[in-house]
Amino acid sequence: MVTKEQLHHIATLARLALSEKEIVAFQSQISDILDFVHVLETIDTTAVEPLHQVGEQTSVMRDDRVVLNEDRELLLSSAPDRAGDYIQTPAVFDT
Amino acid sequence: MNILELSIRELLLAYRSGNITPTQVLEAYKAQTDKTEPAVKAFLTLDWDGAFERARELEAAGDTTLPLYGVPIGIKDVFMTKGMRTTAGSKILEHYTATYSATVVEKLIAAGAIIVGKQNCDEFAQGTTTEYSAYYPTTNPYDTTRVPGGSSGGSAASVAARQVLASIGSDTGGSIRLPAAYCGGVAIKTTYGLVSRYGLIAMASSFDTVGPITRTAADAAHVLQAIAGHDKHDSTTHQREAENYVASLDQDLSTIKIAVPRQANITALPEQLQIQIQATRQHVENIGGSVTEVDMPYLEKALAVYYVIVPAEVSSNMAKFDGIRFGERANGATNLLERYMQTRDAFLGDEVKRRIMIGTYVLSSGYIDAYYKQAQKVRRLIVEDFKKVFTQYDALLMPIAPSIPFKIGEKFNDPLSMYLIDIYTVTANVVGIPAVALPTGLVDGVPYGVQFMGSYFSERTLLALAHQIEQQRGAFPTPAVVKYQKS
Repeated sequence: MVTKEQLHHIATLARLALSEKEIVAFQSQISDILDFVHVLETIDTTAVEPLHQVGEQTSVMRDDRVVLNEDRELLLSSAPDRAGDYIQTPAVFDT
Repeated sequence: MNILELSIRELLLAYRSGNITPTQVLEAYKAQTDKTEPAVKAFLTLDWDGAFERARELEAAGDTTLPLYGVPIGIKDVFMTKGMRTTAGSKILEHYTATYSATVVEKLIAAGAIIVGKQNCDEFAQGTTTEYSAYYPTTNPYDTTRVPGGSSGGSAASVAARQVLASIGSDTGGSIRLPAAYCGGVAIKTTYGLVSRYGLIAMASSFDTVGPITRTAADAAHVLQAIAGHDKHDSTTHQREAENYVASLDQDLSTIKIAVPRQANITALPEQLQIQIQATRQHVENIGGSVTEVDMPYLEKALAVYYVIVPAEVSSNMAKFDGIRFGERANGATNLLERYMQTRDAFLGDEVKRRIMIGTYVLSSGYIDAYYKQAQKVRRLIVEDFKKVFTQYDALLMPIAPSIPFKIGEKFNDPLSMYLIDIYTVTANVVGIPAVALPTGLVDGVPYGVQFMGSYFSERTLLALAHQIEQQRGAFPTPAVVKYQKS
């Protein structure tokens, strides 16, 4: 069973401000799911390399050329807060 | 002539002989959508004005040789459509307008298709029933008290309800195959790297694929023909010679060898589902093919692999939804960290949060070796299992799911039992191979289906197999919400 403390720690890593109610609900649900995937530990994988991707593609290269892909004005106007040609955010540190 | 019952091929022939125009076809589909949408709720955004304008453009240009000329198509709302609202089924993108179009959308438009709107799905495609849409659940057109499957439930339901002739969905663990089969349609989950994912809002990048949902295998072949191929914007797409999926539908399959994995435990399924699977075996044998039981020792571990690696990739792909560059943001934060945390808590749904939490957990220091890296190793063992089978057999026959479509709400609060529905579908994504899903018949009034998985880039064989099985099975019954008199 994952502990509430572990879940609070994970939520901070995941940048989620979960409420206590959500933590309580997730505790049993996530524990169930982790118990289910635990079966993987019983499989002998000595000498098996991890598989990072399917398919045969490796190191796909392209020419290092500048191409205009996106409309800058459209991208800027998608931001919830904007100041001129900048995307506006709250301060990184409390002031 | 009932416009809504024409296949893509028949519709193209009607256009080319001058018997009909895109505007007339669109009017028929719009009338049907107006009639069925209140019960089915397949769409999040409809753009009839844009669609009729497009129909007039096609008529003015008059090039009826385009491969999807005047074919009305719906797009799952996880694909970017420039100038059109794109929500991914999430509140965090409720007012977001796409700034560019996905490559598949561009290709469909170039092929002459008419895009009528954006279809409902589980939030960021994370779900099995479309109940995890942040807006509303879509219903099953055969029984509107039941789920349509998911996550591309809106796309499959609107094909079944004759609101569109075809849909485009994404498949990360069964998301086009399950809803297609549950709604009496066909879906081809493509080989990883066959269809561009540029402009698909990513869920799990080493699993995500794009494919059509249609009423028949032949229609699926027509749509796949238009969207397959290399894209310079997606470096995972392969540079290989184009294949003709339509021309190969009637290829000789009389020596086709099909395997059924013993580990699929078909004999443990309810008897009425076993009867459906048995009927498909019989159809394969009627074509001349053989069906053999095989052992695939790692098959049963695919779901556990899936529910470790997928959340890990989800947690990484969801990081960009932070209230800064696009989408909604929470009010009241006094610093940047609070802005991130409050925005994500306020605008992401429970299932997305659950997956982000699991993914962050399995990637966190102290757990990454036991969960994530171990799952990657078992993933290799499963891939080898499949490669071995495909040295001797042309395709694998598997059920689509362990049950028929269940009641809306039945599993909503039990995420693990929801995950178990995916047991037969996720393997194709774990391995990266193609799979075609097709309905077998009605069970308790709702569709059930099977799937065939094949080796990498075997879409031609899979679509031909599905097409020839359809000939054996006969036309699939129309759903309850389609009440017009058939001519």
